[in-house]
Order: sequence, then C-alpha cells, then structure tokens
Amino acid sequence: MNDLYEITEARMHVYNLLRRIYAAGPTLEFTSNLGNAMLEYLSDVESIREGSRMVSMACREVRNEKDLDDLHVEFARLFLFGKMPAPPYESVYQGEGGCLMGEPAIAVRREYLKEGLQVERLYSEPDDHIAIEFEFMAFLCNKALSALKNQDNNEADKLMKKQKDFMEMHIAKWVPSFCDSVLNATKGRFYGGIALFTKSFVIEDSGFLIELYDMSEVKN
Amino acid sequence: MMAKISRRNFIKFSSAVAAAAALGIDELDAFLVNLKLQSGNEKDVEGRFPGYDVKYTYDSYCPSECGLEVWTKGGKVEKIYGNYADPYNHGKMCGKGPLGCGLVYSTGRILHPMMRVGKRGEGKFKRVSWDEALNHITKKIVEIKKKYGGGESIIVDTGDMTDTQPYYRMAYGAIGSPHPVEHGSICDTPRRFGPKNFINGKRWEPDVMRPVLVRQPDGSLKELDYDSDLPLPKYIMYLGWNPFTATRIHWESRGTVSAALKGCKVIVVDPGMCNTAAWAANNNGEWVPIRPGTDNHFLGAILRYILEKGYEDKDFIAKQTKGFDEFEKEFKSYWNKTDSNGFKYFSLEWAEEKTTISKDKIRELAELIGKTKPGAVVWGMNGIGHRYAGYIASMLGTAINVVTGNFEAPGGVIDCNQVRISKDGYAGHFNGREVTRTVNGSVIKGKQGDLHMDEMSDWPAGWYDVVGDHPRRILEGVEIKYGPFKGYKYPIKARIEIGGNTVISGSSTWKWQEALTATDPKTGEYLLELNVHIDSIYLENSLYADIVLPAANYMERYGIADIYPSCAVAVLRDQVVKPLGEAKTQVEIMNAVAKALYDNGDKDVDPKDFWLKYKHDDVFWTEAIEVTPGVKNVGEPLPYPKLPKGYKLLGTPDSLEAGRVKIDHDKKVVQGEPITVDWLRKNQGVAVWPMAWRRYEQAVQSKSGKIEFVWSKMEHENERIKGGARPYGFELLEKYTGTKWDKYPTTFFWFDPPYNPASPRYSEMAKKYPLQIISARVHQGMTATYANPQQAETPSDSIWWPLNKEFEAEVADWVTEKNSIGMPQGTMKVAKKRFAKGTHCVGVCAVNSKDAESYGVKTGDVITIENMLGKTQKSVVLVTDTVRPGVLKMPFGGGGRFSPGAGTTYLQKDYTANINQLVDPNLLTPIFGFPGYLDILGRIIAVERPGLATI
Amino acid sequence: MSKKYALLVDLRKCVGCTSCQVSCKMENAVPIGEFRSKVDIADTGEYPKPKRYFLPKICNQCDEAPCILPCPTGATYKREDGVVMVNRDVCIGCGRCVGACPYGARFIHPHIPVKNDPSKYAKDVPEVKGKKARDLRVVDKCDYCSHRLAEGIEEPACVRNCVGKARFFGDLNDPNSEVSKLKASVKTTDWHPDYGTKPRSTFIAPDKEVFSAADGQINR
Repeated sequence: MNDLYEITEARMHVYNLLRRIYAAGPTLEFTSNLGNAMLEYLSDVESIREGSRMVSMACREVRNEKDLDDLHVEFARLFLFGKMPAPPYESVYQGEGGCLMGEPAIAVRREYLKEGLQVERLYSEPDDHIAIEFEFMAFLCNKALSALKNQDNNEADKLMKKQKDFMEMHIAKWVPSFCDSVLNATKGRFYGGIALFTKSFVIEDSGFLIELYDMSEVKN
Repeated sequence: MMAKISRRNFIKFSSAVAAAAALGIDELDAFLVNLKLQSGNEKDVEGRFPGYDVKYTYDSYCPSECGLEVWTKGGKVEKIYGNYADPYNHGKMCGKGPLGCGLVYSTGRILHPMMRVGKRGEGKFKRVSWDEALNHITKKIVEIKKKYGGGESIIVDTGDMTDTQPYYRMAYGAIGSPHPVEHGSICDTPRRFGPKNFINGKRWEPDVMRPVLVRQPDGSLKELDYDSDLPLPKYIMYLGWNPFTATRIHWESRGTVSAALKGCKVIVVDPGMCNTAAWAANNNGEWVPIRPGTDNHFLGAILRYILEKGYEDKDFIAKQTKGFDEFEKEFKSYWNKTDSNGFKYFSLEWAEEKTTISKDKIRELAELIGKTKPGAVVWGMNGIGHRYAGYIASMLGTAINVVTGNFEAPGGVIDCNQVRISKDGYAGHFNGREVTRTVNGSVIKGKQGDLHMDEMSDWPAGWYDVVGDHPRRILEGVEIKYGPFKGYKYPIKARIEIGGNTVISGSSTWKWQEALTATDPKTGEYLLELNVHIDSIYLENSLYADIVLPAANYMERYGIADIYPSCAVAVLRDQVVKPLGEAKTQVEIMNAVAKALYDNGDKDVDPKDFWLKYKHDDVFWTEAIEVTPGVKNVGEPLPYPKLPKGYKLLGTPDSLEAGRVKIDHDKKVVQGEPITVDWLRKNQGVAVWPMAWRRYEQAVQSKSGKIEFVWSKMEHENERIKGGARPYGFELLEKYTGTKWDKYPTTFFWFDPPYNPASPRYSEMAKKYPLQIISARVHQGMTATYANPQQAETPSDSIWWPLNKEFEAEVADWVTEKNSIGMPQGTMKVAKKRFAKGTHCVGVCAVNSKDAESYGVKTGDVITIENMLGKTQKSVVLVTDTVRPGVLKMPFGGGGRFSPGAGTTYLQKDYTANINQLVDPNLLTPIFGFPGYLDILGRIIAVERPGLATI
Repeated sequence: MSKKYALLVDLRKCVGCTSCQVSCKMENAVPIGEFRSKVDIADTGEYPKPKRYFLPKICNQCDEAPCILPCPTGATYKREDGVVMVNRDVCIGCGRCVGACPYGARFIHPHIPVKNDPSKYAKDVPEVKGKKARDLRVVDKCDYCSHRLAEGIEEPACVRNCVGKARFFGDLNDPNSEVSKLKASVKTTDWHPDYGTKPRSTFIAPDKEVFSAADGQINR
C-alpha cells in the first residue's frame, strides 16, 4: 500500500508541524524552515493553499528578533492568558462553552491511556490542548507507518480506524470552530494563515479518513 | 484501494515539510510520554476517576492494622486497598479489609448518645444530647470519688482498639484511676509468658517479612524482597497458630508461602486443619493433629530430645544467655521421674501418650528442629495463648528457639515487639500523683498507682491487668495487699468500656451478666453504679450500659498503628471520612469528659492537661511519636554506619539518613528531625527505618541484658510478695491442678493442664465429658465484625459455614441503580433481604466424621452441648474430617449473640453457640489471671434435626 | 500490537483468605448473594490425612467463549485484548449466556436495569416476552476490572489485594510481563480444559486434584 504509506507519512509531518506551532511561539530557525515548507506546499484544496501562502509570506517577513517578538506577543494574546479570544482547548468548545479540564479532557486522556500514553505533566496540563491532540494523531500515524512497513495490514487498518475515531470524536468536533475564533481575533498573516490552513486541513483529513474506512476491510 | 479515494491529493509529501516538522520535534519535548503503569501508588486517581479522593490510613477490622489506601467519593468510603508504602501488608488486604464499608455504614452503628430506660440487659434506650450524657457520667464519677475514696473505684477498659492513648490519659489524669486496661489482658497473654520472662518481650514470629531496607556494603540502603538472597527459615513450626486466617501478623501469609517456594518446610500442629495446615499439607508441609492442650508435652519432648542429642548451640547459649545451667538442671530433674502413664517425663513415649502423636513423628520433628538452621518455632494466640497452661508451651517454645540459636538470626525468629517503634501518649506519669487514703483509721500517703486492683492486690504479677477477674471484684470489692495502702479496701463502682465487648469476650458471659446486674440487697441499686459503653457498633456490652456514647469508626478517627513488623515502621491513622451522626474521635471524647468533670467540680482535672493543650487530634498524636522510632543503632548490618553504634535513634528516616541530627553523648541519643503527623501525611502515611539482624542490645530488654533462663522478673515479684499475702492465682492453681506454689517459678516449671484428658486428675471427669471443646478464629473474628453481612459469604476453617435457616434481615449492601460504564457506581444502602437456607455463613460446631457417626449426628443437626459445670449451649453441626476426633470446635464470638447490633449473626442465636458460656469463670491462670478459654470438657446431650443441611 | 490480557493464579501461594472474592465485591459493588469472583473450598480424603483445597474461581475470558453464541442481541463480545464483555446498552437480560457458561461465571444482576428494548427480540427470545426494559436486569460477570484497565491500571482489584501475592495479571504479548515470564518458566494448568473453551486465565497447580475436588464441593 505505497500510496497509503506516503499519504500517512505526509499527514504525520503536518500534524507534527501544527503541534509545534500551537505549542509555543516560534524560533528564527523555525520560521525560516516553516516558510520554505509552506512555500512548497502542494495541495489540490484551495483554502489549504491560501493558508500556506499566507504563512510563507509572514515567515519571510520575520528577519530579526524584534519581528519574532511580535509573533510571540500575538501567540500569547491569542492562546496563553488574559481573556483569550481563542483558548486552544477542546473543553472550551463543547456545547454552550465549557471550562478547562472538562469531560473532553478526561475523555482524551482515556484515549491516550489506551495507547499507553499519558500527558507528562498530568493535571497541570489539560489533556485536550490542541497541540497534544495533534501530537496524538502524529503518534497514531507513526504507528500505522510501522505496521505498513512490517506488512501488517490488519494492524495498519486498525490504526487508521483509530485515527478516524479520534478525528470524529474529538478534533473534527471543535478545531474548525477554534480556527474561526483565531481568524476573528487576529489581523496578522502568521496566525491567520495557520488557522486557515489548520481548519481546511482538518476538514479534509476528516473526510479522507471516513472515505478510507468506508472502503476498508475493517468495516467488513 | 487508494485510487478510489477522492481526497488523496489534499496532501502530498514534501521534504521541506518533513524537515520543518523534524525541527519542531527537536525544539520542543513531546507532551505525551509512555505511561509507567501505576500498579501501586494511585496518586493520580482524581484524573482517572473524577470525583474520587485518596487517603491513607490503617485498618481496625482486626488488630493486624494493615495499611490502607482508601478511595472516597462525596465523603463516602467507596474502595479499600492495601497501602503499598506500608511494608507490613505491602499493599495487600485479607478477606476482611475490603469489606470495611459494611462496618462503617452498618445498621448496628451507634450514632447518638443513648441513655438507658428500664433494666440493664433489656436494651431500652432513649436518645440524649452529648451534654446530657456527659453530665450524667461525670456527676456520677464525682459522686463515686467522694463517697468511696477516689478514682480507683473506676475502671476504664479500652478494649481491643489500640489508638486508645487518649482514654489512658482520661483515666489516669482526669478520672484519677490507676485502672485503664486493654484487651491484651484477655487475649493471648499466656503466649507471651516465655518472651516476657526471657527478654521482657512479647511476640516471636518467623523472619519472613519482606521487603525490608538493608544497609549495603557501599553505604546505600536497598529494598530487598523474597527474590533476594536474604535467608528465610528452612522450617517453620506453627503450633495452634493459623496465620492464613487469623491474619494477625499480615506478612506471615505472604512470607510463609514465599519461604515454602524456597524450600521451607511448614509444619502446622493443631487439633483442627485450619487454612494454614490445609495449605501446608498440599505444599510439602504437614498437618499434625495434636490433642488439644498438649503442646506443652509436645514441646517438652522436643526440648529433651535436642538436649539429649547435644544439638543445642552452646556458643550462642554462652554468649547471649544467662542461667541456662539452672534451667537445664530443673528440666532434667523430671527426666527420671515416671508419670502416672508409666513413662518418664518428656520422653518420646510419654509425649506420644499425652499428645496422641506417634513418637516417630515427634522424633522426626525434633531432629528437624534440632539440626536445621535457620528456622522458627511459632506458637499461637488461641491454641496456646488462650489456655490455662499456655505459659509452659510459651516457655518451652522460647527455650527451643534460643537453644537452637535462631533468635534474631537471619531467617530465624524475631520478637517483633522489641524492634518496632516506641510510641507514647499513655500519660502514665499521672499514676505517680500523690494521694491520701484512710486505712484502718490512719491517714496514709502514697501514689495513685499504689491503689492498683491487680498489682497491689490479688494479682501482684498481673502484668497485663486482669480483666478476666473483673466480675469477681465488682461483686466482692478490692483489698490492697502490698505497698503503702496495704489493708485498704474499696469497691468497684464504675466501668467505662471503649470498643470492647467483655460480656461476650471477657470470660464466661453469664458471669459478666451476673456482675453487671448484681444489686445491693439493702438498696436495690446496682453494685456497679455506673456502666458506660463507648463504641461504634451496638454490641452486648451496650445492652448493659447506662450510657452509650457514639465513637468514631476507624475510617473516621486518628492514631498511630500498633503493628508488629520485623523492624521499625510507623503508620498514621488519618481521618478518611467525617464521623457519622454525632460520633466523636478519641481526643474529642477525652477532652469532653475531662471538661465535664471539671465543670462538675472535679479538682483532679487541669485544663492544661486536656482541652487547652490538645486542640486537635494531630497535636496529641504528634506528641505521642516524639519518642519514635526509639530503637538502638545496633545489629548486622548496622542500620546507620555513620551514626554512633548503640545509640537510641529518634526522628524521621530522611533526617537520620542525611545526618541532620543532634547527638547527645551523655544520654546516648541521636535526635533527628522529629517525626510528626504532618510528615507521615506527606509520605503516604508511612515511615520505614532500616532492618538488621542480631540486634541483641535492642531486642533483649531483660534486667541483666542477657536472654534469661532464670527470670529476674519473677525474682522481683517474689521479693514483692515475700512475707505477704498468697497470690490468689496460687490458690486456683492448687485447686485446679494440684500443684502448690509458694512463690513464682523463676526457671523451668511444670504443671498439668486442667480439664484435659491428658491430666490424670481429670480422667474420671473426662469419661463423663469425653469431648474437648476448643475455639478458633475465623476471618470475621472480632466480636463486632460478625455484624457485617458481607462476611457471611466466606466460609472459613470449618467453623463458619453456610448452614443457616432461611431468614429475612435489613442489611447494608451495595445497590447499583444506574446502568453505566466506567467505575461501578454502587452505594451502600440498607434494605430488607431474604436469605435462603444454606446460603449465609453462621458459627457452626465442627465434628469429626467418626465421632459424628458414633453420636448419630449429621451436618445440619443442632446439638446441645453440656460442659463440665452443667452449662449448655446449642450449635448447628458441620461433620468434617478437618478436625481430629474427640474435639468440638467452634468460633469465638460467632454465635449465641444477643445484641441486635450483631447483625445477621444475632438472628441465628438460637442455633449457634457462644462458646464463652462454657468457660469456667474461676479458671484463671496463676500469674496473669487469664481465663482458661479453651480448657473445656463437654458432651453432647441432645440432637435435633431441623433440616438445615443442604447436602 | 494490542494487548493480550491474562490472569494467572499461583495456587502454591494461595492462602484461602478470600481477599480476591471480597475485593472484587468491593470494587465492582457486587451485591450479597452474587459473585464475579469466588473462592471455593474443596475437601477430599479422610482423617488423619484429609485434604482441603482453595480454588479461586472467576470468569476465564475464554478464547472460544461459549457464552457469546447464545446471546440473541450481540451484547456479549470478546475484546481484542481478550476480555469478554457485556455491553450493558444492548443486553436484554434473557440469561441464556448464564446457562451457557460451564464455569458458572455469569449472573443476572439484581439491580442494574436493562436499557435496550426487549420487545425487539421477544419473538425469538420468549424469556423476555411481555416484559419491559425496566423490569429486566442485565447480566454481569468478571471483566478483569475493565474500568481500571481503561485508565491504564493493569491490575484488577483481586490482583491488587491478594495476600499471598498469588495472582498475576498482564499482557501475554509482552514477553517481559510477569505473566509471560511465569508461564514461560513454570508449568500451568487450565481449569477444565476438557470444556474446550480455551480459558485465558490459568493456574499454577502442583496438585491437579484441586480442580476435580472443587467440582464436588458444597459452594456453588
């Protein structure tokens, strides 16, 4: 299943990338790398391409520490403290709007545990932070790649299904709304572009996983 | 397949993306890490199971006091596990502990102060306020003290709980009574005779507790478990001891099976095949079905054999003991005497005739014990500890362990009392208070302690107090026979009992009932003018009380564990849930009583000794452990090589380890940072200090500092009684055994056991009463715990068996109303439940199958047993081969219960026996005044067939 | 690779304390009269050499569980990790699985109500004909404390509290787990292998008489 391998590998890289972006403000080196990555980004989905264009342009404008500081300030304003316009936690986006460490945090904690994983700073760090959920997706992708390498298609199918479930039960439910919050709150092209990219990517990936599952042997 | 997917080009592989992603990974650590599965410390319970809290405490379901990890939700106890941090039980729980909810939320809980209406025993009470109850009690105490002399007329029995120091302080310091007593007076006392005299010790157990912290040659401390090469015993002989069921020393269970896997031979000498014996028989060990009460004869033959063969460890005897020659001389003086059975004392033939164990078997075991090192001879609480002649087995067992050099040897025998932590809070100093009494017209000054009703009266060597003889003193009063108050007489006018149930457990039930309801013929008033019962469950003692006060259950109060590990371990009892109803903790009750006494004009009470000082339980218990651990830095390997050898150690394990200490060279004390309740709380409730062996300077606490074969303790008592009154116990000894003592024995001694077919004196009686009646513990073995209906689903040792009649009862049980996944959401609720015939355990009488055949008895029949004094009890029968012929075995406290607080057990009182009704209340051992619980002869006088059996 | 859970009881270390039985009761709120886990006492032989065995019994989570086929609703199923579960949302409490288990491991719970509508099945399952869901009760059984497994605590309550340290639980797919190591080094015996259900739980039993003795004893 070469195609599946390739696409899963690509998805894994994107999830790792997004994780890094939402976890903390960037470094100079990172913005430089990110700029190149986004420039070359190939997708047949227009909004993904739009998002990546915005990000690569924003990255080229980061030339020194002062420019970097502006990004850090924006990161903090959006995601870290005060009246966050876009709190990056699933618990906040459920129903009418919830508090931190709600049921979604507990629910994803259970999902991580099933894979033998746990948030390192358990209880200090809400388990449903977007960066952690993306890290988990990358983890599952990596596991699927190993299975494919070992030609254990059964196992690979199971892992793709796990990704589909996690996407359906969690990521797809809230990340698009979160991205809208970011788009509404920021004028900059960096985080605006990231949000657009993220939203579109998640929607597409969700559809992809569903389609894959519908056709797979697991279902049958 | 992929080609069919429409969305496959939303993403394509890009090396630049891969590179950026890789950089991202480098720059920031992962959030998710591999879970280190917590199979022990469950501190992250809250995250896994929202709403649950974890607290660490220790159990009181039985006196083993195992460390607990308790999960609560919404202030209710929900889950109970062992505490892994406590090496005593190492995270494990027996068949009782997890059912603690059934006790906490029992229908028999006392929740409010109650005052008696009507006669004692009727069980009619009305609810009163704490103030009203305290006022009544303390007014009466003040009155009694004025009228009859002082606090000595009042007994404070602290029962079987061990976190009772506040009540000691209340007795000594507020009431002014020299008589706080505790359960150890009526439990296990003869068992301690040997250790007490040889080393001023108490409990000899095999060296099988693991893990332990051991100092390594490189200076580090290592935790070593059963898989290490620490030696374990090569044999263990358990006499009348069933550690697997009576899990009194919790670690003996895992320790014994682990030692067996490494080749240890386990021999269980017992009239019944208890769990330990059953397991041993299936695992390269053995059950030796000895005649009850002949362990003395058995051990005597083994010791003789060892000495005759010269197997004793002469080197050890020379180095560590004193007086062996005299002991041996006295012992050997019997060897040429012929007993009434025609054999020489302590010969193999003689022991065969007495014990009914073949002489070949006795020789085989004597060879094993004499030649195998290391090993342990361990004698038990019921089989030896509850017998009139138990002293002798204890003495011989101690002697055997010493002459074989196994005491404190790695893999040998340890006196777990000597090497554990010291703790205080007993406020014994109040007993030194000066008091004045008028004796035959003269005004005499002395100390409060000089008025003691046992030590200074009929039981001068009654080291553990003599609760078994309380009924007689209630009826007859006390006369002081020694010391400055000699000649002084006073009555016993009040009894305050906390957590004990002496009406069932204190010797014969009918004797206690008699004493508690006896009236003055002139006034019609009760002789015992005040009877108070403080407890968490409403038992028989409550029925006879004038006032019942609600005590906090073990999940609701504080304390420091009284455990017997093989080294110093401190465990905190911490309040897990708030006391139910109006229940109070020990410190709260102590303060409340003291204050009420003070308010009612009692001048003995100083507020600074009570409520002004102990504003919270934590203050009390932190003070109690100022003396902890209090063991010496001795042994191999030396626990603290960097600290002075032989000095007493005080303070936390970490401060001692780090050397954050002050050393007092005059007092020879190393003071680390004092250990506090707070420290324990921060460390999962437990503090553990290093283990060592050959800790003779610590373990041997006799006057001479050596293991004594000639006992300085008994010599001291003989000094005390010289020229004075003959101890009451000597009269009884002569009456029951024919042996005349004019002083306490100071080395080897012998007398025949009473009420025993092996004693020539009883051969006629034994013809009329051919059956020996013995009891044993089951898991549900504390009189309160039979109240827990959950326990009636675990048959045990052929004496707790599902032979019930059909019945209905209100019981607390888990009810799950919601259909949900995740943590099972059952809550304890009280509801009426029907129990079908043969589904619920009751106390039964185990009868050997051959005996059953000759008596025409079948399982499910109800027999009437008559004892040698003509008293009777009924019991349902289980016919089994797990008990030897000639024996009727029943659980103590497991039947004939007449308090509704005893739960479902109460409903079976008509066909289950209260074995203590068959005890001779006058049979009290010569030195400690301990009741002869297991010295009963009887016969079956009737058989009914109510159809209880299901097979 | 997914987990392959198994329980192993070392009868050389079982002291007959019944802690497994009561710990399970406490953990799973099992009401009086019912048992997920039960210690049976079995006596054989004659005085002076009688034998008494302790056999701790639970659900064996059989690899060819005979309780699955008779279930008319599909509520009973075997998980990937080996645990045979009862889906309480689907179970209609007909009790057919209870009779199908030769080890007597299942029971009808006295309290927990059925959720699924039984009328859908009444035609083929006359036991539930005319009954409403609230009148029916679900089936219960040992599930290796699956609520603890879900939280990554691979230690059922009975293993947690075992006095003799005779119970072992873990992943047979992990060669370093205690169960795997024990199975590799000591001979194990299944309880009634002749039933043909391939029990997942197993015992170390130096004296096999324990199993036949336990069949004939009084405790059901």
